[in-house]
Amino acid sequence: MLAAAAAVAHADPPTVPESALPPDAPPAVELDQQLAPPGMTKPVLMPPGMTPPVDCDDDDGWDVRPECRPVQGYYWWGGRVIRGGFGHYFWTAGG
Amino acid sequence: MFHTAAQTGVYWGEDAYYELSSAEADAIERATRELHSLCTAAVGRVIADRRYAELGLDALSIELVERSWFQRAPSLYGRLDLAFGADGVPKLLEYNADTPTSLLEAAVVQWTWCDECMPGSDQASALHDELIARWRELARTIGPIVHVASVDDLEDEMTCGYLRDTAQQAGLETIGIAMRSIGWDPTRRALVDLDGRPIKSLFKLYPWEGLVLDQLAPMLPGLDVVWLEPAWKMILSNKAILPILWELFPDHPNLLPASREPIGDAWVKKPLFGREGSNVTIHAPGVDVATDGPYDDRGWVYQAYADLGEHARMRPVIGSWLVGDRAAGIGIRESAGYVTNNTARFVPHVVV
Repeated sequence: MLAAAAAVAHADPPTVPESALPPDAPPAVELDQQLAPPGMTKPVLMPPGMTPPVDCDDDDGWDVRPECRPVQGYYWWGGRVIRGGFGHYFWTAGG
Repeated sequence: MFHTAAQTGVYWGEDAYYELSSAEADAIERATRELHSLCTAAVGRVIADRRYAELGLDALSIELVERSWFQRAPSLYGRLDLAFGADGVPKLLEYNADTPTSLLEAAVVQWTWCDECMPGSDQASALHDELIARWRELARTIGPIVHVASVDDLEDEMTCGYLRDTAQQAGLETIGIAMRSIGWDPTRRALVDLDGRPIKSLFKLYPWEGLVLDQLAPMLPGLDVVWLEPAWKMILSNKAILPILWELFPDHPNLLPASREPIGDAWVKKPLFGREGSNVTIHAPGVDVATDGPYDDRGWVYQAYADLGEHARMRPVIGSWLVGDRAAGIGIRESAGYVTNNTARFVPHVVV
């Protein structure tokens, strides 16, 4: 039962509370890592979050918990801080 | 090592090296200084004339570019890619102003090769010392701590690791972080690292054109962060700067004709935001080459085809480095094909 719960949490990470986001922040999107280029990927609305069995918002070890690690294309609420909001266009890095 | 592939062989090659005369090395250094001067002047013109539409910049990018430019936000480094053909006059192919790599190879690896394999020889590379000196200069602006961020890529992580080493030798404390781990603290309205420390200075080996599309991009204008490279580099890393340069400085010997339309019967078509030789088309007498890639939807420029010269059936491109505003050395990558892509191999050089 515990393993099943963890699996669900890993597949569906905690979402960022609406109140913590800047008012003009765009909706979270799921990025197609194969397509990569800025401007080509089509935003996909983030699916509704499920209640995580681990409260990453109130867990001192959030940064080492797999359940709280970022999932590509999603905000990641770790501690009091929003993470995962930068670095999605990794295919365009150094050249 | 990165870029080594079964089809293209070992990225670092020691079975050959390039030999430059001191006059040739001087010509490259002079051209580098000159081109950097032209490029920074062109940035000023683009901003003064608000030619942002030609570069495809959105409102957020424009705000960041203008703010960084008028604040005189400093630069750490950049790399000009030059053709150095039979006429001996370096020609600008493009300016990797925002996220240049092949740094470690140019600064350390080829220098070590020269020291061990060609003792007594000289090399056009002061990169390592210049980087340390530049970090010392920057310390006055960026403070004693700099965060260094990259994406999950071996070459980029190695480049960042090397830059951290040079910063530390300059007396700075460095903190590495993955781009995706950078946090935004809504209470402090600041970027923070994994230990909750505020990020005041950030070297990011991550392009601005990606940063302004990221999910937390709307916060960027409100952040009190010194960015390396600064946002105004967005103008130089955009291929649309090539026709603007040609327009502002027509017939300059170190520039190639460039336009938004095909040029004569020998041209190279490049995507505005392309990297590593992706989505490039070459049309010239006897040459019709096209590479694939993801950068095909945000506009194009055409640049007159430049002969790279051929040495043992390989075509070299000179990567000429700038640290701050100073020419700091070169690295040479060569390809058997006509497009220098990310599998082109790095070959050391000596100056005789």
